[in-house]
Formats: sequence, C-alpha cells, structure tokens
Amino acid sequence: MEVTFQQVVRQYGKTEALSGLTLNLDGDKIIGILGRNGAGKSTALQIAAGHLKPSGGKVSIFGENPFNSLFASANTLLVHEGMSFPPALRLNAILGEMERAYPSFDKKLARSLLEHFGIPDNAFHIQLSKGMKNTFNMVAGIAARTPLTMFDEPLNGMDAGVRSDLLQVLLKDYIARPRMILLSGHQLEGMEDLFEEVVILHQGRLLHHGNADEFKEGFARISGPASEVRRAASKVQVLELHETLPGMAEAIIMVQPGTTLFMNEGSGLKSTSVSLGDAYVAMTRKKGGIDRVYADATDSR
Amino acid sequence: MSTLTQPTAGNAVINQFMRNLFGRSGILGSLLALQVIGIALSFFGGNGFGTSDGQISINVVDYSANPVIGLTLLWALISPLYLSGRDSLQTDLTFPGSRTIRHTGNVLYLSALVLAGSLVATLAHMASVLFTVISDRPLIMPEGGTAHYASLFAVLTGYCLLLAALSYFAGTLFSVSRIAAFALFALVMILLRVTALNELLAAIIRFAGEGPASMILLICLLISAFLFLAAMAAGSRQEVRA
Amino acid sequence: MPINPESGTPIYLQIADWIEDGILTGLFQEDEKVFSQYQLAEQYRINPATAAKGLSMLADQGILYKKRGLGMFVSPDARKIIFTRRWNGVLQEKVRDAITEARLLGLTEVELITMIREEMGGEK
Repeated sequence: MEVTFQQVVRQYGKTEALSGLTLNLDGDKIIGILGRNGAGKSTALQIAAGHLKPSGGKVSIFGENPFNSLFASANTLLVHEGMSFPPALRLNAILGEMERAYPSFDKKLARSLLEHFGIPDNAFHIQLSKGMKNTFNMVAGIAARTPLTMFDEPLNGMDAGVRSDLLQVLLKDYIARPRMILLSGHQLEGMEDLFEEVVILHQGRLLHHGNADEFKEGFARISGPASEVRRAASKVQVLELHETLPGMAEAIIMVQPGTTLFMNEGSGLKSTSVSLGDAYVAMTRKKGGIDRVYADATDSR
Repeated sequence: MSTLTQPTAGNAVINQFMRNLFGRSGILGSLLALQVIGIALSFFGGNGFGTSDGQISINVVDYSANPVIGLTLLWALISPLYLSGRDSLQTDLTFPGSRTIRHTGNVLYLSALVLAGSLVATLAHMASVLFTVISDRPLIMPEGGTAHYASLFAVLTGYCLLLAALSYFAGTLFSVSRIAAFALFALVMILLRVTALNELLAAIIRFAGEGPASMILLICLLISAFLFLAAMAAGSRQEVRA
Repeated sequence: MPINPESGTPIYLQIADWIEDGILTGLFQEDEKVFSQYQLAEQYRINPATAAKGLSMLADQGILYKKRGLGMFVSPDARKIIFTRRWNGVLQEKVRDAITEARLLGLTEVELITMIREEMGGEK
C-alpha cells in the first residue's frame, strides 16, 4: 500500500481541516482527489508530502511516516500553488537542481516542455505570471517522475490550450512510466477522463473512493415535464431536483450500476449521463446534500 | 510499483548546502557587499571622531578595519534569519530531505560563511595598516604582531558564530518571513548606526589582543553548538501553513 | 471518432462501439491486431484502464481475442457476433415500440400478434 491514512485529524487552531480521514491508495494509477473548497484536499496532500504534521491519526507513505522521512520525500513530489524554488536560481538552474535531487528527473523533457509553452528558461521563478508559474511547476512535477506525484489544483490560471497540452503530456508520460499520480481539484475541466479512481473528500472525511467509470455510471440526469421527473424521482435516490423552465424539471439521481433506467416511452423524459464534476458537486451539496441522500436512502427502505 | 529511490542522508545534506550556496546566493552576496563597504569605509577613514572638553581637543581618525568587522558581525546576526525563515523552509520542502537534514546543511553553510567572513575581516584589518601609510599618517602597529591577528580571527569567528547561532535559533523559533528578516535588518541598521557599532567593536578588538582568545573561541563554539542544536530541536516540527 | 463524455454512454462503451464499427466497416480485419489500451488512451485522452475496460468487454463477447504479450486481435466470428447482437437489439427495440404504441391505442396482445402475422403473411 503506497498511501495510507488512518483516522487522520488535522486542526488549524480551532478549525478542523481533516476530521478522521481514512484512505488507502495503491497501484500505479491516476487518482482524482475531488472535493469542494475546504474539503481537506490540500491538507491531505500536504500531509502525504510530509509538509504538514497530522494532529492525530497515522499516515504512511511507502511504509514510512512522511513527516521528516528522507526516504518518503525522495520518492514523493507535491506540485501546488505554494511550491517554491531557490530564489537566486533561473529556471534552467532550477531544473538542474531538480535533476540532482530526484534521480528520475528528466531534464531534457522539462526543457523541451518549457520551450513548447514559451517559458524562457533564463527567467526567475518569481517573475512568472500565475499561469506560467503553475505551468512550470507542473512541468517540473511531470519530469520528476517520482513514484508518487501529487498535483494540487495544478491547472489554475492556465490557458485552455496549455491545460490540454499538459494533460496530454501527463497521460503520455504516465503510460510510458506508470506511477501513482494524484490530481486534486474542484474544477475538473479536462482531467476527469484521466482518472482511474476517484476519491471524494467532504468536510474532512472520505465520502467515496472507487473506480472512476463505475462512479460516473452511478448517476443519471433526467429531464422533462416536472410531474414526470418527480414521478421517476420518487422511486430512486435523488441528489438534486430543480425546475428549469415552468413545468419542466431536471434531476440528478443515483442509479444502480449495471441497471438500465426504466422510463415510459412518450412520457417526455430524457436521460443523460452526469459528468464527474456535477456528480460530486451534487453529492456534496450543502443544503440537503449528502444528508438528504442518506435520509432518502433510509426512508425508502 | 515503480522503482523507489534509496537516498542517503549525506547526499541530502550536501544538496542542502549547495542549494544555499547557489540558490540563496543573496546570503553570500550580502556578506561580500557588506565587507566591501566596510573596507571602503576603512580606507576613507570615515570613522573618525573628535571630542573636546573645552581645554584639550582630541581628534582621532581611525584607520582600523572596524567597519568591516562590525558589518561582518551585523551580517552574522541578520542573514541566518533569512535562512531559517518560513520562505526558505517552503522552498526546501520542494526537495528531498527532512527537517534535521535541512538544519544540518544550513548550520554547515553558516559555519563555512562565518569562517570565510572572519578571515576576510581579519585580512582587512591587517591591510588597514597600509591605509595609514597611504594617507601619510603616523603608523602605529598593533602590539603582539601575528598573534594579534590570530587572536582577532579566533575571537571574531567565535562571536560571529555565536550571533549566527542566536539568530538562527530565533529565526527557527519564530519562523520569520523573508520580509520580516529584511525589516529586522533595516531596523538594526537604523538603531545601531554603523558608526556607533564601530565604537562598540573597538572594545572587542582590544580584548582580542589581550584576552585568551582560544578560551573565548571555545566558549563561543560551545554556546553556538548548543543554540544550533536547540534550533534543530525547535525546528523538528516546523511546517508552513498554506 | 470523437469521445463524447456528455452523451449518455460511458466512455468504455463508446470505445467498444467504435471498434465494432471498425470491424463492420472492414477497418479491422479478421485476426488483425486492434489498438492497444495505451494507444486508445493516448488518442482519446482517457485513462488506459477505461480503454482496457472497453477492449475486455469485446473480448468477453468473443469479438476480440487475446494473444499473450501481443495484444488484442479480431476474432474470426467478430462480424457475425456484432451483426447478430446489433440486429437483435434493433429489432427488440422496435418490437418494444410497437407494444408501447399498441397499449396506448388499447390493443390487446392477440390483436397485436394478429397484426404481426398479417404483416408477415402479406410479405410472403
């Protein structure tokens, strides 16, 4: 097991970022860490990287407590907004430093990518714009090829074209050298099809962990005349139901994987799939939200 | 699972040292800059002072290397704040290591720079004698000859290391930010004023000529080692909150 | 084939459909190698596991077969299997439609069957 969290708690003063997170990840997979802002994604990743010390519980990365473990930190890299590099080094020298620190670092790949994205390698890291900084960080993270590489909200502030290219490179490099890659975010645009597994955090706890395709299949969006939507929704778990136009409604419902939704022909109902982003957002919606899912599930029994 | 790297602590410490040397060249750079300024001040004899009690008036123009020594001490007090601060920790977290490894690399780096800085200051002090000759003033050689300079070097190294250790400990304890370190630097500059500090240092140098320099060095080394170890202990759970 | 994540069909089914289309149109011949999960993943920018799921689904149905270490190949019966399944699927759907329509009009089962018999007889 590469990554193990056992009842991990982390407090910042009085607020609790993680309140008993238990999570086990293994295998060379691309795993999505999803959750709303404040769900505990960044804290969990920073704990896994050894940057933060948990207030309670146990964490193990490659069999070691990551806090102050040279072994764990040499095999782990966290790419995040606060990632910083020695201030006196130009980007090219930073790549050299990374190469010395991480034996698997591919400087040639990193240099070619910087050139492709038009980032001058004689610039200083602090001179870069937010989008360029994140691009550089992600390039460094991909090229490092650490057995566990974590990207916390990596695509923020990037152009659509750059995002798309970076994800393509990430996938290609992952296929060429499989390793465990964690990608966190609350906006997923473009990332969601890369996930083999998804982990959904909510209020500092694990809400769901499983295969990404199966997770997506567990949801459907039905739309049509409000009365028909309500009737169909009464038989299943409903995460969200709202009127779109007068008399029309849309609902996100949970379906048993492997079953087809039975719908009367001519009722005007339409069923479409739900994107991963919409699914987890519906699952973690504050009002009603997961509490109502639970209530609906137990009521229908 | 992809192949795991088995790093060695020694390598990680060396990397930390090198990262400080090249990646934080501002620390070495500021030492060099301050010493150059100090030498310039010595050369122009800008540290003279005059006093008069109404009957007798004395004018002393000091051509010693006191400014260099003063600025070196000042550097030893300030730059470890930067090295031990929050921004540096954040950067070091990007690279493999542990808090102990990081502190070890930093302490070695500071010690090396203190040694080099003290050496330069001592050499400047030796050279300052020449400034007197150049500006055509009566030459007064310090008593003790070579031993005087050896003592100065030892004492200066000791005090610099002590100040650096104190500052590193404080910086680790309070995890000051880069901006705070610079603000403190500016504050100390204003409070002490280089010239005022200069007078203070004359005492140290006189002491260096007379006292048992090796004892001072030893005591300074012991206290510094204790402070550095205290910093490592205090910093073993250091973290940067986002 | 563009992958459409918004359509009601899971991506691995879209992959499977696309390969089936390729077999029907002759893009992939009998005993010929099809794309690997990694080629598919890169091409459609999806996780290789998702692509593998599409391929193994086809293998389960006997449309593809695995050669150890070499990859997935089109089985000799592939066209027949796809044809039969799709044909059945389409027909079944039409029958279901007919039943729904008959119910709406209030036709009984016997009346509907009679109608089908007449239609089939008429075609003879």
